[in-house]
Amino acid sequence: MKTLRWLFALALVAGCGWFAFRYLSPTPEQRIRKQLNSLAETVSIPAKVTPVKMMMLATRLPDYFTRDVQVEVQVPGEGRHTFGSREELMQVVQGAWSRNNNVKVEFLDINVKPQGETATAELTAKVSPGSGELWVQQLLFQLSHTNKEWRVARIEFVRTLR
Amino acid sequence: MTVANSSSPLNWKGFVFGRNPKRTAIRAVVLAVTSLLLFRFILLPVRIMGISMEPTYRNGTVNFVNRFAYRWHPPQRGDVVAIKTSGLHILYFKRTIGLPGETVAISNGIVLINDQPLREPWVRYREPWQVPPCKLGADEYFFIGDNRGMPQQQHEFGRAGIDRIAGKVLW
Repeated sequence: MKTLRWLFALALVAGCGWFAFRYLSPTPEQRIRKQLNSLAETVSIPAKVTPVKMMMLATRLPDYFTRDVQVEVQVPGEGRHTFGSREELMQVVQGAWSRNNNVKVEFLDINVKPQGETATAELTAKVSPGSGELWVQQLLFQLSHTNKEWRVARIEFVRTLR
Repeated sequence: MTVANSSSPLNWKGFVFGRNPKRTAIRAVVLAVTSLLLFRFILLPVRIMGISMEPTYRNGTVNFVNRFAYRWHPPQRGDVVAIKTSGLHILYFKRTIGLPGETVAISNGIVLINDQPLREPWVRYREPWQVPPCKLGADEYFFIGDNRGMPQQQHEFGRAGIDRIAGKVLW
């Protein structure tokens, strides 16, 4: 009985140790996943957002992207459009923020493939406006590891049905 | 004479845990595990959002996706299937109209399969959609919604591989 108790305690300690290790030293995949979820949270606009909070979000947002980030948008019936820099992207996002309030952005089913200093992440973006129709789009992110951080270098729309 | 008080803690305990609490606990665990396995791996519960499958499926209704439907046979023309995006959280409900190797086109709202018009009793209204002919690959299917009364640009449709199919819609 005593041995059994010791074994149980040992397994418990080992389990806690493993979780602590995983928490303290996450894999690149976990880091990217966390970074993307944080990006989705930053892009979302809460219902009653104060100008100060809005300014804080706007300051935080560029940190998620590389300076020369490329975003390729494909709107049905309106063709393809590419944004070629972080500044241009920030203008677009801030423009969208000023037109809408209470928008929740979620990145679902994030499939990350790290390849050394770069990585790709395929995900489905779900944009739920406070009023209006839900918008869903499959996206492909390319990320690069710069200054110990994973930053988004490219975003492109993926057509689920071609 | 004794009168049983229905609100006594003893009766409530009996009502919640049964006469044999150990057996009740086992039943609860078996039920929970069965439900988890059933609704996670076999029948996916889904809530329909959007109008692209109207009038067959209404916005806001609930349905299930049978993930085992195509384990033993491929999708048939007319089957309504669930199509995966990057995972299973968001699925597209579409009708299978084109099978592997066929040429699919839409002319003035009429679907043409290998240049022959397709009879589609599930379509109620038709806008004059135009889609140039496209030949499907060996494992490709053509999917489209039943609501053809909406503008073509706002309707998600096209071809996808069999690996994109999450399952068949139950009813």
